[in-house]
Amino acid sequence: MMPYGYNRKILHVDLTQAKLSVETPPESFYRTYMGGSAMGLYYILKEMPKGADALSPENVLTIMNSVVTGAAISGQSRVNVSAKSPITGGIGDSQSGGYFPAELKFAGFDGIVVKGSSPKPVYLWINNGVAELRDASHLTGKLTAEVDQVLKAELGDQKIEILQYGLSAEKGVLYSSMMSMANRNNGRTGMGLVAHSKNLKAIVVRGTNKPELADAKALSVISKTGPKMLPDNPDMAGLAKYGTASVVLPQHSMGTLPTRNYSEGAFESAEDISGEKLYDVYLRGAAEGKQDSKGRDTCYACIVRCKRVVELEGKYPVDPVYGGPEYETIGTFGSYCGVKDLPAVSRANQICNAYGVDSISCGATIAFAMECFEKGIITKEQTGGLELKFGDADIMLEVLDQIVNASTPFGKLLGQGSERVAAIWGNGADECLITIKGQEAPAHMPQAKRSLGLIYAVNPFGADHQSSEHDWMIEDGMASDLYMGRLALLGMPERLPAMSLGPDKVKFAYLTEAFYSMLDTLELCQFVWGPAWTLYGPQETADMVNAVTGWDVTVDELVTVGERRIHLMRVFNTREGMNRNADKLPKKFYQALKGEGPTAGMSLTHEEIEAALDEYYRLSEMTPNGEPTKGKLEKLDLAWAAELI
Amino acid sequence: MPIVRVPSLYKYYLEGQAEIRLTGQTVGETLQTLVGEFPKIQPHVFDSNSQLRRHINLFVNADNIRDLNGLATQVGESDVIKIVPSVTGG
Repeated sequence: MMPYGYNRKILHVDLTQAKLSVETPPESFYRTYMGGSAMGLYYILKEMPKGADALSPENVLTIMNSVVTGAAISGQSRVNVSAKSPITGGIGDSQSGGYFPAELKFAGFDGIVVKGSSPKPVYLWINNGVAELRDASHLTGKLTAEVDQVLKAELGDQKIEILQYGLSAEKGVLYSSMMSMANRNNGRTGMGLVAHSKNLKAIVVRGTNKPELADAKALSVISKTGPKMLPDNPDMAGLAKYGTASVVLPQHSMGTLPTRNYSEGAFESAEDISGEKLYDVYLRGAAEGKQDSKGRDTCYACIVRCKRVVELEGKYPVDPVYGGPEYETIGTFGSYCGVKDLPAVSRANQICNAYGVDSISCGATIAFAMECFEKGIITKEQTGGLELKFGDADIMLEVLDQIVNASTPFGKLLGQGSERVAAIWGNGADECLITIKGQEAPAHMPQAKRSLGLIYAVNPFGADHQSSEHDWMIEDGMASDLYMGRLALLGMPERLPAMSLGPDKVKFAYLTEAFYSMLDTLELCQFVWGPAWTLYGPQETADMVNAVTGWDVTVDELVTVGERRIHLMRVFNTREGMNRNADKLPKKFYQALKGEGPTAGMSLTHEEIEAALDEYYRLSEMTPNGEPTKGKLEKLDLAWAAELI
Repeated sequence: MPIVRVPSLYKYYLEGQAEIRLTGQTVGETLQTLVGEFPKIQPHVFDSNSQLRRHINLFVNADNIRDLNGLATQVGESDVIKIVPSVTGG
């Protein structure tokens, strides 16, 4: 019997042997893992030997959608790319949206498992169930948009979708990413460099076979409620109109906009880099008041349309094919660097997307270098003559250019990320780091959002701001009745005091982490599906899964799926020697923030973080050392994984 | 005189207070009193054209003022005006 919602097909690619094969797992496999990271981890743990070098043929790269990808509803077209990370040495995990995920599903596969490496660059072409490897030598040295154009012409089809590593991976930039559409970025953890190490230049898909849905009518009912709810949810309405950049000003007002390399929480020029400014002035069509139609973009079947499209001429030209900056990019190339020029930040976004690098790690590494220079830790001798100053947009772009092209010794060095650079510079450079597990922190500050201090520490692939709900969604003075009703379904019915990191807040972090983990397994957009402020809440998520698959999942079962993924990631990391010893925050987070604003003078304390870690491991049924236990793994139907540690 | 309540981190702008009773017959009047007595909060609630910032939601008790009479919504002694910024992910 054909399944509903998914293909029951996983494509296995052995690049060393140039062999392709198709696996048809049973329904029970899909019900257990559902897709995304969890499904990818199943294969990575089974097929990658312990201690494999992340850039060796032994690493296993997985590209996974989920059982619901491609269904006609907002926020379901996302894809996970996972492998051992060359940045952290633990599991690598990245997510992105757009149209590639749905197209992969329509092309006949729920996921791809890639082993080995090809002797020369190849691309994987999947056309309605038929897969083959083709020569990609002619695609090297090209920007992402150029590769897209070449492949569309070569294959004679403008509707193909492409997931590729970019030019920066070819140059060896550690935080190289995987890109689709030249503006959707599987950014974090260096997955682009892993794909390059395998010479898998791109995965190209075309498909016209949408899987049948179990109950299309029920799905339609859920889908139609979205547009009706959007105007009445001010958070979602703001996201739709102003993009993720809508949070620049609230973050600044509440002292959690990282400024000058996370040294301060308020940026005096926040208004200049705000989502409102982007919308009013710089989105394509803004000059004639048509930015809503010309300056906003979306993903497959999504009504929210939160993506930005910028088109600029002049000193900082921006090609709209590269989209526009999200909040994180505005943070890392804006306030982290002290830069208030939004066209310059948009140009930086273009360069990151054109070359295929993670804008968080890249911008944060530049900000780190700026602080080192301003403090005299490094001089022009290290920078090749450049004077790195916070606020200098031209210098920021010059350094970025050197990084993505690896065109200078300074650029090549920064392309290895701030933690490796600090080890080389010495002289106190490590005091300027904001890395966790070797990867730079995103633009939400744990000094103000206390539970993020815990989540940043424990998240298996480094600090991630999209791996749990943020404190404000449950705190007095911020949490609405809508949020509280949804959080109650997860077992959090009461509002919590602001700025706390006691046992109740740890429980909030733990439960919402499991829910977000499920979202990253079902490859659902966290701006549409979530446990608090989003368009759809936990019950709608379960209802949607059931409408697509015909299953009878509950919210509890979905949370268990999320826990399963977290524990699989912890198994991977434990096997690689990472446990509580890796769940550490940078020294900077324990130092008083400078500048002005509500968080000036604030810091985390070691006592609260250690106590939170103790409580988190206890709730997760891990050992006090942060390692998964056999008992918990068995409860999660992961007895096989227990054998690995 | 209604109460104005702000999120915890906004206390910074109100000399450490999370809620204050202020004069005003309407939401708009009360907010003008607020920024008059605590000018530090002004740019975080109003823009340079004295318009309410687009990310600021105002509630009178449990109701968003969008569903009432906007800034002209009448308020009294037993009412609480809540200033709640929109916050999403990303």
